Amino acid sequence: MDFSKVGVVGGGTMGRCIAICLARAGIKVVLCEKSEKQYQDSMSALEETLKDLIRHFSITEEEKKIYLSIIEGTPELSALDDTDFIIECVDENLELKKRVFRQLDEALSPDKIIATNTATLSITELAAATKRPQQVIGLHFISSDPNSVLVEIVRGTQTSDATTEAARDLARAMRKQAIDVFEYPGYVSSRLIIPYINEALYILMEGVSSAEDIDKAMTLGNNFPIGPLEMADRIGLDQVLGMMDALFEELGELKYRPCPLLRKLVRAGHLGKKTGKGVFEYANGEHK
Amino acid sequence: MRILVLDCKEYAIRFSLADMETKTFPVCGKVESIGMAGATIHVRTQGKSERQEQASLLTHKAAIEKVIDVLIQERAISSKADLDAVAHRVVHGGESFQTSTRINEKVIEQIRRLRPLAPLHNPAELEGILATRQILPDTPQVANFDTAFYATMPDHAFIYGLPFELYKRLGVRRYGFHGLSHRYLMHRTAKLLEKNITEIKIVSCHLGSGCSITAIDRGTVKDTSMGFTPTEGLAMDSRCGDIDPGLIPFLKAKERLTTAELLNLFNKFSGLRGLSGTSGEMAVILDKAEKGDERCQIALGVFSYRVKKYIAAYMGVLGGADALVFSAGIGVNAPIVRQRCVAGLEFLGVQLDPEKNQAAIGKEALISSDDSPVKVFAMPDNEELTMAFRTRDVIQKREEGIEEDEF
Repeated sequence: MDFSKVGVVGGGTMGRCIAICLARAGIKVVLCEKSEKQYQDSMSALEETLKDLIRHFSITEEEKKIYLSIIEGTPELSALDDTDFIIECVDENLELKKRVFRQLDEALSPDKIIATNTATLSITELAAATKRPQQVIGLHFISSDPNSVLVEIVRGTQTSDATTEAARDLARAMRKQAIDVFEYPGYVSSRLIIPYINEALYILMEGVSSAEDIDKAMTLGNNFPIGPLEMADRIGLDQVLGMMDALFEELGELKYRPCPLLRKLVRAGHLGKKTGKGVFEYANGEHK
Repeated sequence: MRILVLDCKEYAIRFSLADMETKTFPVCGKVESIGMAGATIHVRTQGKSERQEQASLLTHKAAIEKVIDVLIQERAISSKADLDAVAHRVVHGGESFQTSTRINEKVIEQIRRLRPLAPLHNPAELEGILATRQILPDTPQVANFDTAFYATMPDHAFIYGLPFELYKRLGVRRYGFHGLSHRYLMHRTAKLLEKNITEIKIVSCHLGSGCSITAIDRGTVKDTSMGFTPTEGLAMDSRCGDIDPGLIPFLKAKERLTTAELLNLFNKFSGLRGLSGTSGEMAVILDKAEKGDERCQIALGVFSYRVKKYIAAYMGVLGGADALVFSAGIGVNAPIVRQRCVAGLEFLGVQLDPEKNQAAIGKEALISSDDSPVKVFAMPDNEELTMAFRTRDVIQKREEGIEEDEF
């Protein structure tokens, strides 16, 4: 399948990241936000991300101009009917996503595929909110870093082979590498990384070692690019807690019990890099 | 004989139609922004003013079809059957291709295998070749390699001081680029000096957005400044050229860069652009330097010093030269830069004539003084002509020597 234009619903962190990845691959983007104002805000934030990428030598000024020129906005879901594929990226809230899916189902022609970027919610349940469950699929972009490479293609119980193939084509067109996952709590990446981070927080809480040393055990001892606690701060402790809670609820096993220290930090508003303090402290986005 | 000459890049294609009877290019141009929201086609037809067209061209195939349409529109050909051959530019021929080669399945497969050596150029060139084979299945096509000119370079010049196994196992060596340009400059210089290429020694400087210098000894290559990739050698528009390998781990750690970001730093954020902080364009830098901009002055200084260093080094390697040639955008349009690049090299026999140098802008000219032992030329480059000739020769299976008269 060829992709000349892809629709993205929701201009939050992930929506913006996906829009940048699409633009980078030369695919036009139609970004749907609730209102003109939300769209303008999203685009400002998107431009900031592009400026960051320039500062980090990831893209050039010329490339930034090209990407901005092929991303357009709309408040109408129906405008997305003119695209080849739709990716939904609204907040991680089941009722909200179900509503958006129902609206998309009504606004789009019946042949369109709708993918969701959800990390924790059920593809099958979202698909059931539509009349086209075979054309609903999960396309999980693990990280909000446009340079990250992996995408999890998550099949719901009714997702068809053709839809899966189309999702694989899109991942390839976006220069990402895809893995196939059957819908299950946590898929693969979250189910492995979140409990690992959670365990690191237990080790910290139990006084076994300092936060710096726990991270060193993994970076120096096991060649991880960054340690589990810094990773937690980067993902956002609220996100980590949310995903841990979801795993615990869905699977019910004690090994998924969120670490009390994690809950305490989140309750105190120490969410990590984005609030300047999590496990570690941050100034200007850098580890102090 | 009419040959379509194509230089396919990731988002753009440079094209020209060569008329081998008159040895001119009736039509040439560029297609830009392929695969993006709206491509632009620039067309320059002899005797007419340049024109522009917009179109939606999402693939190289669409772009090449458009190019053929344009040629028909400009009445340079009446149909695609009028094209006798297609000359493709392929930057990297590795050690597999030592000369221009007629394209068949085996050649395509071999070019594909060379992708790791030229990840930024090879895929687009391959796409151009495959598309052209679909559009013109019965027209002979020839691949012309930037690296082929350097087939005669001796091993002591192309082998790096790295473990020898890396050369044997991975092909790690200096390959050299801009070969099509330096080859043209060599032939043209010989013609102007009324000598055979086997009689003269030339230091050839292609100074455009990419910059390279080649030491040519009586028809063979002794050394060249670009290396395993086009990043090595001179400081260029946005490339750093020579640096200390020790910088790689330092920059990666200090700036927390991935390898891709580091490569970007070296290739797109360095050179004149990174030094001046303003622009990679020499014209802008010269203007600002003159007005006292310190960083532009530094950029200019670094650029000319490094060129001078290479010129002197290569004259040493050659044991003296008959000619020194300045070509491409900067080489042909910037008298001040040329002057700075040779200042102090009088002891090597390089004497500029200041007036002739100042007057030589945008054209071929002899810019050395009458009594200069080394003849210095400003000479526009013409890779397309080299490609057209080599393609014609491959198709007509001529011996290489015959080209000489043609320039």
